[in-house]
Amino acid sequence: MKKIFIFIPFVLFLYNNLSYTEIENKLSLDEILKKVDEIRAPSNHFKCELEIVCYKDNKKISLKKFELYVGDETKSLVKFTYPYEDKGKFLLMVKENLWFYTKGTRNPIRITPQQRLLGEVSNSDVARVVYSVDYTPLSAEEVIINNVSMYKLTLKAKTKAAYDNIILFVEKETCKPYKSEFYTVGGKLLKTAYYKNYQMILGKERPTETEIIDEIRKGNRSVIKYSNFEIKKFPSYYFQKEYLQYIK
Amino acid sequence: MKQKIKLRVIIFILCSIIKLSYALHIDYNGTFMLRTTKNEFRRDSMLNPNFALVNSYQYEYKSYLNFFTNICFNENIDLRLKIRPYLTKIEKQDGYNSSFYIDEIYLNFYLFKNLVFSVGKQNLVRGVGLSYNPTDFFGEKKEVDTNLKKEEQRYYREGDYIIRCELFNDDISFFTSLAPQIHNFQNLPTRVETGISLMFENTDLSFSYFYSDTHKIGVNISKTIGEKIELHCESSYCHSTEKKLLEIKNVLGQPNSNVFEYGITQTSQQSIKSVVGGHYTALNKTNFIIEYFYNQSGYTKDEWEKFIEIIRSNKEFFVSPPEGFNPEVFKYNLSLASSLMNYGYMRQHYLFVRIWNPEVFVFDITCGMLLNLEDKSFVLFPNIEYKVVKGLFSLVLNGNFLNGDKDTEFGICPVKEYYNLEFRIYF
Repeated sequence: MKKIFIFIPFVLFLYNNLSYTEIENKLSLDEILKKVDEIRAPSNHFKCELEIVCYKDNKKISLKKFELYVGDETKSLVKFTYPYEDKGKFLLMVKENLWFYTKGTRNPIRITPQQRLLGEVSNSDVARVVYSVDYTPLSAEEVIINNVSMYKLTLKAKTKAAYDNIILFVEKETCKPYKSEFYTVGGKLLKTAYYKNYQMILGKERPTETEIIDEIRKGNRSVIKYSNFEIKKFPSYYFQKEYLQYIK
Repeated sequence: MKQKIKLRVIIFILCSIIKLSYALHIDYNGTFMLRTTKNEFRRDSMLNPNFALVNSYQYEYKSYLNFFTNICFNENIDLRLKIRPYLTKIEKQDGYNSSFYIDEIYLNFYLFKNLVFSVGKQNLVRGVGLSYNPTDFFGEKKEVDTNLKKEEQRYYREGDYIIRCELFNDDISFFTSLAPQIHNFQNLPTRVETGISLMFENTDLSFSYFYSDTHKIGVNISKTIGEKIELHCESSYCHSTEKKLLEIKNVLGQPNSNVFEYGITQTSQQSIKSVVGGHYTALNKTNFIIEYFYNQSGYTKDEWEKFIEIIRSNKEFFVSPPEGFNPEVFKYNLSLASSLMNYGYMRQHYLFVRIWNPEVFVFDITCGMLLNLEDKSFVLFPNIEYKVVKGLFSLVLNGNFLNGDKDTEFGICPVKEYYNLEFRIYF
């Protein structure tokens, strides 16, 4: 009986200690992801320009240009500016919901995150520049890549997102994202993204290029180039699907 | 005269607005298309015996422009204009036919931060369905270009003169549209629609109430499940829907001659129309779309059989008229039947399927099918697009193949198939 009394506080102590370690660990994972997001997105609300170039066997096959408006982290609006065929088209993302709109049609259509925008780039790759909105970091381990110490973060989709799992490689020192691997529910590697060409933008070194490599159809890759970042606040109704018809 | 008044009104509005414009910004986009259509007619169609009713030209050449512009005069006022000028040449016919459609010309006034007031000619498009839109109340009975994809048909049609007001809040918006009856401009009775659109638990919901000569209620729901599936549902209830049927008007000749002159009778009934469907995106970019739609105001089995029997007997009488009868009577009856044909909406149960992949080698390939679930007749519409210069020029080849027995909806159509070859220039 005495042994039981000694054993119970010991178990409780161990449990408390473990929980504490877990929470502490969890917080640090969240912090790493938050820092990654802060590097990729200069603010909760900003505007920038995008250019997507698709390659097949290193041959340039298409080019598209967009303007990206981000409001309140979870809301983004993508305006298609080039080529002419796509002029007047918009993509709206609010939380994990996506709509596609063509000017003059007055009727936004709901689409899935998986529907492709161009080449290897899915809608959410363009419309969402942060991970913490859609993904929870589950674990981190330290790895060395190209003689640089990095965290290998495993991210899991919170509810529904474009990908079920993401393995994100982040430089340990700076929290700069190096690459991401995107997986399906079944654990199949869909694509790999490399964050490149870091430049000083709005007070921080940020990647201005993301190279996305298709792991299913080998030889296909796309490069997203970001430019002209500008911190700007947009009214909340700007990101409402019914308002798309009035966007100028 | 009507055109002149229209033009004067437009010029007056433009002049007034230009006075107010201190931050002029013009944005535009559009497509110029050259299209050749080849039609194949049925030789044995009951609705067109010996090609007596439908002009059986084989080729049609059309050039047209879809042009949309948005002119912002300042942050509070903008003008939207959507036009479609056409030039058509039909084989074996002299000259060209031209038409100039102003689909939309309206002004938006941004009164407060989240209140928009619009006035002018507007093509209001509602509904989440692709193949069928029972809540598209303003678009009912409008002339559409059947050579276009199903969902495009409703975007390129003439609008109505509407006064509209829309109020936005974070996740909710309210709208009211009024299309008054205007002598010489808008002859339909005054129509009003009011409704609400909102997002609830990641589901888009929209409810609308429409009133003109009858009451209508519309509901639209759409949501995504997971990363690959989109589901939608669109339904309407109409207090009084017109149904047109062929009925005997006069007995011709002797009372037992079995030769009749027919007329169109109109009945009214409550009706429900619905479409439910989904969209699945596979990893290899192939998209699958499936929709089932129910049209309660369509013909029942008995009504359809009766309708077909009238067509069959009149076709036989037209080909070999009974003694003492002029075949023109039977031709007239057949033309009445032909005028009631609204392909794709005649019956009550339909299935729409589309498979689409935007990147098959260098082609964008789509294959769609509309199946009449009651008589199993169907239309196949394949479409292949080749982007000559990506985003600037493209070449499109598409077709419509109508299949079914002679007494079925798509089997009775005088046209058996038609192909379009289009060259598109985007700007």
